[in-house]
Amino acid sequence: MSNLFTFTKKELYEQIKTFKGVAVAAVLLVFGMTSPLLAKLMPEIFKSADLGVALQIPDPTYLDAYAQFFKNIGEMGLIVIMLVYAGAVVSETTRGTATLMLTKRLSHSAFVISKFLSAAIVWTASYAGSAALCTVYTIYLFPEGKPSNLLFSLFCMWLFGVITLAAALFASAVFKSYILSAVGTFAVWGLLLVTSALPKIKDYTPAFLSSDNLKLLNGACPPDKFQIPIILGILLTALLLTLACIIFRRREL
Amino acid sequence: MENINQYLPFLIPVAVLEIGLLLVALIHLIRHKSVRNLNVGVWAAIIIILEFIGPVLYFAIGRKDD
Repeated sequence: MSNLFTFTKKELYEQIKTFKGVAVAAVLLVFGMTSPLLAKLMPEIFKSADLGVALQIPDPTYLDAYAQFFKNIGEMGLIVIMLVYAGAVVSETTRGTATLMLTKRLSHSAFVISKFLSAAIVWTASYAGSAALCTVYTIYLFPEGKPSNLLFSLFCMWLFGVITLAAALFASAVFKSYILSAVGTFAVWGLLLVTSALPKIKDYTPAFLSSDNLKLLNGACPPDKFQIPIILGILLTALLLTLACIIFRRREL
Repeated sequence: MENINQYLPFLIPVAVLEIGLLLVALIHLIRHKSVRNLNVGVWAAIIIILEFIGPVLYFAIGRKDD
């Protein structure tokens, strides 16, 4: 247990030293700031583009700001996360540094879990900062109207990010090269997104957390509907990490 | 243009973070002059052209460990 703690701390330090964690934080923080701005400035941009046709654009509201935020984080933000953390375990196994760590009384599982924990801490901190900036900007730029269930909606996106991280760690522990690991991560993520388009299961899949969390803000979707996706999301994270540990333990390094 | 000026206090931190990330990646690349995968020139182009994804990709797979 103390091994896990020490190694997670070392990993966090490493992520700052190699700028990986810093890059993730910078990207997420920028999304937090640009999303409300873009929503606010969109009508102006259309006006100045002068498309020749008179476009009737309704005045943007706080909902547009959060829609931009969830879209940016859910697409670009998670792609950045996947690109960075698909290499978490792979980079150590290909360089041979993993063998070095694992002989130092660190179990294979603790190695994988500590990688996941450090990634999750970076994601949580950067996402929290990003969401806070987005909220502050939105309150300032769109003083009228108040979103309901804002924290819960933000939490849903956070959980979807954690599932994505688990997918990245899983692929990273299973595959032997960065490219394969990245492709594997995107495959798991893609499969998850596909489930949100299938009529019978779309209300229950964890992808519901990122596809419909915006509807919480204007009350179009009651919070109860998120119970099953949240439970399934946590189970999926646990499953991916367990599989990652089992497969990594059996791998020849 | 007046409108844009009004939003400058919001835009400046965005620009600082974006340009900062780009510069940190470029300076790291120039100081180390060695990369994994591809070559230094290609990485410099990736960092500059691909906003955000460029520097992130560099730190994720391009940078060589010290």
